[in-house]
Amino acid sequence: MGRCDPEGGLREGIVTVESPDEGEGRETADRADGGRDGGRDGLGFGLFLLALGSVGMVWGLRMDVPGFVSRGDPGPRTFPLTMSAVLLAGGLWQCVRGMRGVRPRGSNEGVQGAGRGRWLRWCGVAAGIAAFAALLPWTGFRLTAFFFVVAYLRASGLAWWKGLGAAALLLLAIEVLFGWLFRVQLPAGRMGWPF
Amino acid sequence: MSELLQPGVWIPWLLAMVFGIFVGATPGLTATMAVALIVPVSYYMDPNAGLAMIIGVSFTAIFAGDIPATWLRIPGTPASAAATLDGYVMARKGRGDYALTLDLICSAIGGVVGVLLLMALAPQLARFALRFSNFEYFWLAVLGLSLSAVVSGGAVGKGLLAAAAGVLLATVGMDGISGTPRYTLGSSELLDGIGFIPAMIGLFGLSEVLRIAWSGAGADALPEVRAGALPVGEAARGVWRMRWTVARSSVMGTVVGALPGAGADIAAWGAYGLERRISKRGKEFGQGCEEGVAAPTSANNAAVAGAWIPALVFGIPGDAVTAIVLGAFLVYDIQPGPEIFEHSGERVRNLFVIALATQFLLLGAGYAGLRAFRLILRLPRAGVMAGVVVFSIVGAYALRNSLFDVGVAVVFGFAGFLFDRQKVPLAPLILGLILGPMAEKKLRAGLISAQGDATVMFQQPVCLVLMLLLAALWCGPLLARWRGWSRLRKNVP
Repeated sequence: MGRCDPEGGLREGIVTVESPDEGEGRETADRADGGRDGGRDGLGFGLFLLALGSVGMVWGLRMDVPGFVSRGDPGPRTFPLTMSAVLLAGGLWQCVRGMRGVRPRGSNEGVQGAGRGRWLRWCGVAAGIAAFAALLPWTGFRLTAFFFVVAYLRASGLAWWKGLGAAALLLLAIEVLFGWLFRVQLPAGRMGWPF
Repeated sequence: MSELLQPGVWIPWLLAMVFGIFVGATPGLTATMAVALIVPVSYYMDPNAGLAMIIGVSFTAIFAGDIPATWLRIPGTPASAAATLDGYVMARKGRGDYALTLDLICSAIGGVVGVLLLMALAPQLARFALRFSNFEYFWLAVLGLSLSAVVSGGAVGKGLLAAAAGVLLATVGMDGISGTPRYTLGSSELLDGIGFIPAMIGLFGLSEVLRIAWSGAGADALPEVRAGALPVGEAARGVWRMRWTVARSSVMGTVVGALPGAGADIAAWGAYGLERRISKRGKEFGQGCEEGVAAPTSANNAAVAGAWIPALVFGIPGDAVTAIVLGAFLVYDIQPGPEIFEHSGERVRNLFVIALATQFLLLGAGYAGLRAFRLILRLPRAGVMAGVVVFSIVGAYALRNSLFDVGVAVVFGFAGFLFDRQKVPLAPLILGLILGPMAEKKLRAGLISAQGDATVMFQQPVCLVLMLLLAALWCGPLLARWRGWSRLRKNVP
């Protein structure tokens, strides 16, 4: 969301709630990320738009167009191709702005020391989520979820036995809610294990 | 009406409100995330129970966000940030219980005013909207997308580009008019398009976990939170003293909430700013002034109701929560639009009753939440986050028993994190996903009926009004920027 200000405005950036008697902003836990040090402002977004726009344009041009379209209909390609062109132009603009080195307010101060730990923590969580989704078709929901929760809690500093207990409780809750109550067939996995 | 009193409706309703309190009061978890996680569960319920769960969660989560905002100066949800200013100062002065009880009553009143305005305005607007043709809907969709980019915070350009990205992603799947597959890459799963609910679960559930992993928030020490009896009588007298503040803020919250992309957070800040300017005690704002608590907390709950007005009448969501709900409506056989009161009248009336009753239930659930806050804080943050991941994945899967949807949720989770890091607002992306198909379908259908004559779309009176509004919306920021430059030039010798 945005950076909040007592004048009733909403400025871009970090949610900061200023205590009037202290007079200085303090980041809330909601956005307590030590500033936006994720590279030059807009560059990542620009690259994302360029990639999306390029894919949209290339595959849009390859799209099969029906031999007959109603009179007046601009056809199924017009809208996606227009949007792809907008994204390409916008992506280029964002990249140029980013390359010019406009940095967000308050970035990088006091976070360099914590940067490596933060990256490791984030990569761990991101890899965990990606592995969870990737292993789901093979090892099934129950086993994958159990190991994910145990590993997540252990990596967060919780004792093994607490992690095992929490994982068991969580899986029991999901089994009761989705498995028994709603009768959802949770993925069993191609390995053919009974859980 | 009587069906709402069935245990199959009110038990999940109350449980969902408890869930809303839990998510709202947990710093870092948003009301939108609460709704995104509850929607897959609600699909398996009776439609009335499903609607009750969604409405119950959205209102209680917004209120519950004020609890850590007052005790810890950590807003539970972005909509609670404005309540932090005076609430936290009051808490430090030993008046935290009073501030939160006041907050609870104001939230319920704001919700009631918002729902009453929704009940009064939505049918009138729907009657007017019956005259709309395809082109009016097209312009309305464009206006909705532009509004979301302008008012949702962050740079307007980034918001517009996010909306365009949403519109492009919404074209994936079978084209509704010609039946041509678009961007499906031969995949049968993509023929139905990108699943909206898995996308929402990723954007608001998984991306939040990634964001918190990045920020490392959550290691806060347990604060001194007292949990004695709440001063209900004193707070009720306080609300009566500030009745005009509460009324003004509630109306303002509803109006702001009805603007696509605006949402409860902007409504709360707007009400706080307005009250600070017009109140006789404006100078005391920020120093523990009770009006500074009443104004934003009335407005943020009223905005939740206001967001339903454009969602029901035009199919244009007012905020991310109603955007998710619009996706769920299809399952409940509710087709948003001007004919909603004719086709799904009974269900919409039930929705109104549920929304109104939720405000009264909020008083009880909120009271319990205030007392239970200490317990919520004691839960290990890592456990909550692991639970969010597992629930997000099972929620994305359970909708269609599709592993493909799990992949969609994960991809959107990473995209949501990237957007957050790059200060790109998420609301325009969501509205692009929702309004993109509507804009394209209406434009093409209009052009087909006009035999390709595009000038028709500029000739109808409502179209002209919408275009003028659009022009004003686009020119406003440009004019403001130009004024800023001129002022700067004058000041430079």
